[in-house]
Amino acid sequence: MIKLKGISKWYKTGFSNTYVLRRINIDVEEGEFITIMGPSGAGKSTLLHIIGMLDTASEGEYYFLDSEVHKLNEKKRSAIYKENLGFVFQSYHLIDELTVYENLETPLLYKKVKSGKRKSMVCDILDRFQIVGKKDLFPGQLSGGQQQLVGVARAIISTPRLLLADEPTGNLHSEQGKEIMDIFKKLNGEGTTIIQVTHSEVNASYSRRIIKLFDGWIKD
Amino acid sequence: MIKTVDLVKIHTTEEVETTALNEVNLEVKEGEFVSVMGPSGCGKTTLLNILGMIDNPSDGEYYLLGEEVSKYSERKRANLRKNNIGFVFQSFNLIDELTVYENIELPLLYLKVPSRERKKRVGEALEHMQIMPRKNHFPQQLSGGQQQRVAVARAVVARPKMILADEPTGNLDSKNGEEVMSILGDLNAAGTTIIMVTHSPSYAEFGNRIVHLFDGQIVTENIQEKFHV
Amino acid sequence: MLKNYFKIALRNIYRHKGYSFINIAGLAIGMVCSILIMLWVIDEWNYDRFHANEAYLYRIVTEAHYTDETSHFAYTPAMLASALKEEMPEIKDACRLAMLRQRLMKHGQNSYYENGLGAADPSFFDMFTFPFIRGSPESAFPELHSIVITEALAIKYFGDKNPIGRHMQLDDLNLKVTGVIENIPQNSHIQFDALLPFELLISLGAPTHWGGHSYRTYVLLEPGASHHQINQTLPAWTEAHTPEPVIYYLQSLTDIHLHYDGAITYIYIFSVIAAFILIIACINFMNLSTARSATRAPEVGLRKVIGAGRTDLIRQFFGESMLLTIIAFIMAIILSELMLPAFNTLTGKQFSLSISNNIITLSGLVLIVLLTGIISGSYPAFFLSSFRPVRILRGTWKSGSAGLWFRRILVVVQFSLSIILIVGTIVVHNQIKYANNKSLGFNKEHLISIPIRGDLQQKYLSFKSELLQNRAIAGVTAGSGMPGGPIDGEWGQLDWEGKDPNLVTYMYHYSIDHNYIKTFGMKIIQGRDFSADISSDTLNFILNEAAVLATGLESPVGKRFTLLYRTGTIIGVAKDFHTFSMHHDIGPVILRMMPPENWRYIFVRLKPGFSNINSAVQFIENTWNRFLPEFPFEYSFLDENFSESYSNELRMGKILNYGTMMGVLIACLGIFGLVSYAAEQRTKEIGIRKVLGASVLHIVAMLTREIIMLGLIANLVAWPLAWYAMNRWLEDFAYRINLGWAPFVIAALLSVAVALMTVSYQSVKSALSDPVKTLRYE
Repeated sequence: MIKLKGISKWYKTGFSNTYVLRRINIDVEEGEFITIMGPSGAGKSTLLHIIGMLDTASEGEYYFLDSEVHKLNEKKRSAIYKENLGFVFQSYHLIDELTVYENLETPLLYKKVKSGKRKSMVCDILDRFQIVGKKDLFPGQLSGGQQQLVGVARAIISTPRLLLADEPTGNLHSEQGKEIMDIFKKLNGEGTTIIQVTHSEVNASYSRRIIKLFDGWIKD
Repeated sequence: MIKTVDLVKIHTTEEVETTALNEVNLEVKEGEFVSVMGPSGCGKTTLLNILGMIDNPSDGEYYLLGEEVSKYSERKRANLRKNNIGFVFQSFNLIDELTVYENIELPLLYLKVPSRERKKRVGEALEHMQIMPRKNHFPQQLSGGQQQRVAVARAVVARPKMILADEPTGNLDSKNGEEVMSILGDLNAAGTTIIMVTHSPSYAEFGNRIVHLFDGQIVTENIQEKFHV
Repeated sequence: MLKNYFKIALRNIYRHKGYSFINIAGLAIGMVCSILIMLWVIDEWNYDRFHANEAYLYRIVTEAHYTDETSHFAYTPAMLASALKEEMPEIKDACRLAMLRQRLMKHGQNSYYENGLGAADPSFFDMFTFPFIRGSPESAFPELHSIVITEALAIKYFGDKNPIGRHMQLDDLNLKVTGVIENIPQNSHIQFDALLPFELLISLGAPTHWGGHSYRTYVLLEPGASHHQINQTLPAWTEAHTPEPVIYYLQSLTDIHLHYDGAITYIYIFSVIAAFILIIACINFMNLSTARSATRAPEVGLRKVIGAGRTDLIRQFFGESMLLTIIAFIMAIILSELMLPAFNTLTGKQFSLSISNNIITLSGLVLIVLLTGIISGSYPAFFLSSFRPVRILRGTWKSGSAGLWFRRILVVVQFSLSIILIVGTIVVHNQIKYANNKSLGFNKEHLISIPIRGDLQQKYLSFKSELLQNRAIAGVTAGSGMPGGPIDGEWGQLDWEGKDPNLVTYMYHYSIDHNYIKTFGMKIIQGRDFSADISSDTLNFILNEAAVLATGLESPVGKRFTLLYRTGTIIGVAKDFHTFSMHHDIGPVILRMMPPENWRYIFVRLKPGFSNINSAVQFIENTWNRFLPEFPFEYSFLDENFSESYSNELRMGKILNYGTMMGVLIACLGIFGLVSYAAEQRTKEIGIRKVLGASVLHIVAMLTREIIMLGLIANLVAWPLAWYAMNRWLEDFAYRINLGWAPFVIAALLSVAVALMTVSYQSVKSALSDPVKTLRYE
């Protein structure tokens, strides 16, 4: 599904370059559940962003489902992205002015899903995550854990083929964290490919493959 | 060095009134390394804010270096704080528009330390924290661990008597976390009093004393027999 | 999706009530000023356009050639109209119009002095559109002693009764009312309350020779005729008809108010003021929207990640700003309606906001509204939508810097416009003060003019001695006119010793009582004043400096001088005095004592320092009533008359005052909003600095530094522009102040002070804020 060949990423700092990723080669098959780990500053989030097409590599090739992503312009990339990817962030990233219902609905609106279908999809997911009672609340009225749940729900509402998660439980208690990871496991069982970045060994144990990054290199 | 007597803090928001601290009595002697633990929302940060004179208690007394400061004016508190206390926050709280060097230099500017002396001290701090190569970078260009090291450098550059640290390792991985704790330990060994709020039991044991806070009150205290070396 | 955007737009507006209010208020105020000024401009522009034949109507202007100069005036001889009509096929119709002097009008018990009397040919009513309420254009003047009156005059003398067929007395004329027309619109250069037949005027002895330029002539062209062509044939035509050194030419009706009367200058100026104010308001709006939209960057990045395309975002921001703009527009309409009465008082007109009258205004305004909304909405959308979402999410995107340069430039522009307005206000104010206070060459204080009526001329001497018995009265004199008032002029019948017979020059003249010069406080600088004791003085002349210059005589005293067939000697030279307003140069003036039947006014000078002016006036009135019981007493103060000639400038000064205040207010609103925003953005940084030991002063300085810098730059930009504009305006005055440094320095200080005040509230508030609330805790 995903092929990264020789991916590197650097920033210009003063006169020299700071390398964040160095010649990364990764193959991911559809249906895998992968964890990327490594000390802070190792480039985990950057790698995830590149896979998620939110960022471009400075060098290298990125194939997603046979498309040469590194050669596509922004419009085409965001089209692929919209179709296939869901992203879960470390800090919730919900739209504060919208209710839970409206937040969940937003990706569907951008995909031009029809009103009736939208309704049923949102209700489905509210049900599944057991947050039906909260659908008219604003993010400010929810606890941290609940916001994160909504963030996850929003990421998966259009059943993406690939789910990317950046420290999804970083700000949660262990119990809420477990809830999220269980959902991930279930999704993966249903066929969703999942790549997550995390510090937590516990979270990593849910996945079936661990990629270790160190200083921008893949550590074997 | 520090003594609080029946410290009370009540937070009032639009909807509700919460008692964050409920008659807290705490004594910390010079040179101690105290860890404050407790579940989230129980008042640890509030306690630290009051100890750092960033906030005022609703009731009770706070003695810092023998002075009762709970009713001091903003200016007096700022002065006392400037000269005696260094802060380390969980979310680093560096100023994004300033370089690493400038961030570390900032407390010295407000203390009106002359230019030569400033240069010397900032240089020392950079060396000590091993971030000299990054001195002209901006915070966004550093990793979490590096940012926290800058924050610690900033906290110590004015050679304060006391450091207040609020979850200093919360946003760091274990390797970086260990590093920061070790730095704090070294500072303590050199004589700086440290009061640290933390979630992590293992880090708490770096200190010589653990104070447990629950629902705004001190419930237990453990005295460690050994100091971390 | 639209509903979604609308909901978010409304919630955002509500959530940031403070900024939304500033945005809406600023824009609404700007729009109100523009609406009101536009009403005035359109009214002025529409002068005389209500006539059906407007496109074909022209006025005849006389171009008179003297030896040294040429002058233009809209007065023509009585024969011109019919001559043009008969001899020029392109001219379909012509008529004459004369405005008469004040006369006493009577009907039954009602008698008043009327100033708005005119005389015209019957064709006047065919050419111009003055709708008849009673009667018709065809039956306007069935007989010589007819009169057509306006609705207002009808009510004044006849109440609600039908005046047709009834009689009115005009001095000793008995006239039959033959028509009532609608009140004349305020934007018409032709204004009258009643019209007599022109023939009647002629039968009373009005001059009809080709040299008597006392009447207005209007012509109606055939469709397709070109007035340019006619103007080209007129010089030859004129020469064939009259020996006078004149050329006649056609001036289009609409040109009269705009160009001949100079209204176009003020239209430009006020339009510019309105544009300035609106631009300031729009800049505010754009600035604040842009700044605030930077806070929404995380939302933008998030939406992109969720699946928004660039067009989706552009539409969203565009919709929000349109919503705010429309709300502001509604407020502006309401405010304009409320302010209309005050505005009418200020301008002396009667405006109303009915849509049918103002389609042009409203559509223009809607256009502005749309433009503002689009610009302020699309800029942030364009800018933000181009960012990579990852930079926003990662936090490497410095939200404060987005569009920072754009905003800075806008602030400088705003500041500059305000400064130009301030300089303008100061300069106009100074010029008016100067004009009012400048030495006029005579003393206009406490000087009363009383129009002579009835047979008072014969009783003048006894009237005068009666008045002089009052202690409050310093002097009494009489004359044919006064500075700032009516004056006679002549070019043909002038002669002096050594005059070149080919020299054609025009001079003004007053016929005065012997003590006129003394009473008026004018100065004799050569020779002597008139004396009642020297009987030959009744034939002598005193010239002013400008007249002496025109004669070229080196030592005029003692030389022979002839005016209108009377020859005498120049006995003295008077120091120049202003015969007209400051707009005009001082003209050459001849003063002579005879003939007294030309005197039109009696002048009474009150002793200065005499506190009870009212009782003095009362005394004069009582005396008058004893001499002329059948004529009501009228008087006016000379200094008031003089001030009236500056009414345009005064009005402009007032409008400029208010306009500047509005502009500066809006600019302040904008700066306030921006600084509040900046403070909010830097909250975390302020908290950290405070924790680290920054003093309140430090923080305030940090926040205000930028605004002050921008203010100073704006001054540098504004000064040359203001200098140029003010110089141009002052050129219109024959006598004007020096521009000097003062207005610019004052404007600079004022603008910076105001900016500081605006900024201080927010910056002090931020500096005093509690770090606990501002530092970020997870």
